[in-house]
Amino acid sequence: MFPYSDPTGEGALQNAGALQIYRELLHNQYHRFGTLGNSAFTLLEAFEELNPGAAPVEQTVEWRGFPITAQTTRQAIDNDRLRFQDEYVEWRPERDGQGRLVRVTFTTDFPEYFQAFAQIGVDALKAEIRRVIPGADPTDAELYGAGPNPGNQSGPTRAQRFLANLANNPWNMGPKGFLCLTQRFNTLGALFNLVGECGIVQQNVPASDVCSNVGGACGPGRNSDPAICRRVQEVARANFACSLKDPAGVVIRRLAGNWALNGQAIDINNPTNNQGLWTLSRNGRRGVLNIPNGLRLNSSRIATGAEVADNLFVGVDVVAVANAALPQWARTGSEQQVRGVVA
Amino acid sequence: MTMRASAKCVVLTFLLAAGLMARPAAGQELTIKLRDNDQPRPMTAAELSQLRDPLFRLVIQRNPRPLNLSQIEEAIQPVASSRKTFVVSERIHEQGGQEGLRAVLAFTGINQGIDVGSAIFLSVFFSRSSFPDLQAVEALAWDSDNGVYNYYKLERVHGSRFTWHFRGSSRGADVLAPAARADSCFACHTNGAPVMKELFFPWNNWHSDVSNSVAGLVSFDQSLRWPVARAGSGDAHLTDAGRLLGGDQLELMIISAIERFNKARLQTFKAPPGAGGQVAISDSRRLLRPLFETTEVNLISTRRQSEMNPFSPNQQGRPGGSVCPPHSFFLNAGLLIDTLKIEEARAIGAASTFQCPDNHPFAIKPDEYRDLLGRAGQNLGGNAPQDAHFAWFVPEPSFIDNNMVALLIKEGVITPEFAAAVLTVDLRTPVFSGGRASLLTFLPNSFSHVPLQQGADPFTPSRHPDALTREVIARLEAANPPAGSPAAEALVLLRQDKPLDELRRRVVRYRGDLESRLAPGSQSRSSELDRLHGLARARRAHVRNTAPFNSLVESEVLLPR
Repeated sequence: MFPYSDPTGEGALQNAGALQIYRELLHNQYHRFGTLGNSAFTLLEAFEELNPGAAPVEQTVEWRGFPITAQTTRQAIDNDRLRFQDEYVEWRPERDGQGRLVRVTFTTDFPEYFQAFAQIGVDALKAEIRRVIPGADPTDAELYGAGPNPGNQSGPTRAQRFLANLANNPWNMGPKGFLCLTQRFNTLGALFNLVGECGIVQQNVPASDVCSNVGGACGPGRNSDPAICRRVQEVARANFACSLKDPAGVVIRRLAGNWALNGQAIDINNPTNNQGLWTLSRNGRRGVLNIPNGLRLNSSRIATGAEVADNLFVGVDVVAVANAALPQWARTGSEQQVRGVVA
Repeated sequence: MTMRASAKCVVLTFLLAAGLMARPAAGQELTIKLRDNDQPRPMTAAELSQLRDPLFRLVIQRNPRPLNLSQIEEAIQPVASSRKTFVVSERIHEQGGQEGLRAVLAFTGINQGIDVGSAIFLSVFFSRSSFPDLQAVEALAWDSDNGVYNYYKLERVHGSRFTWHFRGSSRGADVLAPAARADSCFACHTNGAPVMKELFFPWNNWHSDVSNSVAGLVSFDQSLRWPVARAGSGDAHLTDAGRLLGGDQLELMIISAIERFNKARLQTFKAPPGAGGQVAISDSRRLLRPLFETTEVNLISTRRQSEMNPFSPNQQGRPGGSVCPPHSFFLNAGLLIDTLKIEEARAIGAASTFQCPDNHPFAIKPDEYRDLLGRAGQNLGGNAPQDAHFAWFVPEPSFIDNNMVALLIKEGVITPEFAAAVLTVDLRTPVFSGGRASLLTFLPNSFSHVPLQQGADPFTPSRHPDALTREVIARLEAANPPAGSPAAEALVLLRQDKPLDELRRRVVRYRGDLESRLAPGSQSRSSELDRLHGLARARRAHVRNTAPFNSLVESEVLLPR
């Protein structure tokens, strides 16, 4: 199995003994779509066995975090995360007693990361949540919902209970905290499915329309899916193979727009200049925007998280190489051999 | 510069940075040349003292003045990762060819305390094989002290010698006479602000990862990339990590650039608050013109590639799925939905799902679309049917106009009801409406209003009819307009208690009419599609043939005929 990295780069998975579990979760996805017939998607192991002189090409496909399919107000998008926030980025707005927006936290963390901790043990998950949300003191009921003592259950059962309860978990859905992607389309499986299915050449369909022809694997109205799908289809048509670069996932890239604090322009993406207003952590998987009274985006007060999301770019890193440079088993069309090479 | 070329704009030179506003020496050498054929003359000290934009401060005031593109960019933003490149061309998908490609260079961040983010835009040309470091550069830069854009051009003057010319400021650009506009930056920049014609999704003609990735720029297969974009041997503008961005990202920069322009411009029409907090607005016909007239247009299309573009490879001869015309083709959807909250407008054009379901009345099936274009003889210089890269490419109400109207409502200068009444007149003609334009004469030269507090809801409580509305009603009544005229209709609408409700009813009726005529299998469908397509062609022809819009048509293959 490929030694998949901790996506946060912080080592907590390793420290908790959960890294192997996370790797297995990830490997299931890589393997499933690495064996999808005639898909350009291949395993990361293949990139370690390239022909001499061959070099993989890495690119980031970027998109805006604002959910363009949500035909409603920005306030409504803020208020109904699970219904509207479907671009592989979700956010939690926090307001003060007067209703003024004071903080917006964004995440692109997939639940699988926390799932690995849940599978290791009750305490491991709580410790990781405390690391992400300082001062957190979650109860078992909050994390797992009603039911038997999770500490007495098997790791997989406990992990499944944690996942099933995410939409009710106050440390994920508020008011106590915010952990990871939970909207039904924002799943690790959906991302891999998208790349896998869009990696099958459809010569009779324009590359831009492949998204509409992959059996629901791609949402044609979104920012993210069509962009990723088209790029992967282009890879496939060029007789290249590709994979999601390790660590796989969606990364917060930057905020756009003109930002000013108390009338003075600030470089919001520059941590040495932005006075701590915008902080990225967890290897770009979590971003926190603090909003003091004097902060302006494009000269306007920020009233909703959706306004920020409209200026937030996220992306996924793809790695590709010509099929001819790959070992035979990893080339497009050789998926049966993958099954023999990698369990 | 339009974010597309205009050989009419300008650039500058300059000197230095922080603290150098007190060092005008090198700046005094700057020449002014407002139009292409003007004789340049040195700028006076008084004129130079007015230039406070970052391009002047960071580049043109510098001594020696940077003239090479790399030097200019280094002076604007020494942090290379904060320099951004955007590429546009009507032939952007051509693998080869000699056609020049346009790059817009923009910046993020702060340099020497000066905000350069979305504050400077450079426009240059390059080819598929090279990106010249010394070349003509068109530039515009935001002067926040004066609330204007300054335009400059770096031009070849003698042999290989280049020099910067000041090409004018945006102040008063909107009222320039056609003769004064000709051969100046303001031939394209009608209001004085940056122009990105294809501002919104799918950014037709712009490279964009999201909608329109260009193999010559970003293919994983290096052999498919243009030499200028190949990793390792290409130009840094296109190959440096994170530097080449898409139209989706330039959109945000341009929107913020226009928003601050409009805000600053609005302030110039306001007098200081008087008794009771009343604020007088001067020259109101000029300020409110965007509500009544199309002062600029943007170009919009469906999200679907036409597959009939003669300059794109591997075209299949018909779209890969149904085509639903953009909803701004039918009405001013941006203003109605986003500003006036007319939710009923969302369903026009099937845009509510951002998809185009095959069974929707507005969905034009691939063969139907191809035949529609064939019947009309639509072409881009070759044999019909031909189309832009994305299908149904048409002018739409401009962001700069709609944003100004939104700002007027947000600040309480006009009421939502007043805007609704005006927009209801000739509702089905979102651009180039002569009917709405004719109403402009009924505005008073000036009027007063009580500004809304920041964050106040302009809808509640209703202020209709406010002083402006009452004044316009009085003027319309005095004119006794003939029944059926736009003025008569406006009078009826303005007198209503709830013009927003009437607008809603009209939108619903409009949608019903369209759905009825376009019902799949109906006898009227074919003729209605022909009529709608005829409208699209007529609007494109209006852009091609009418000043000032025709200045935007810098290529014969921009707009299908």
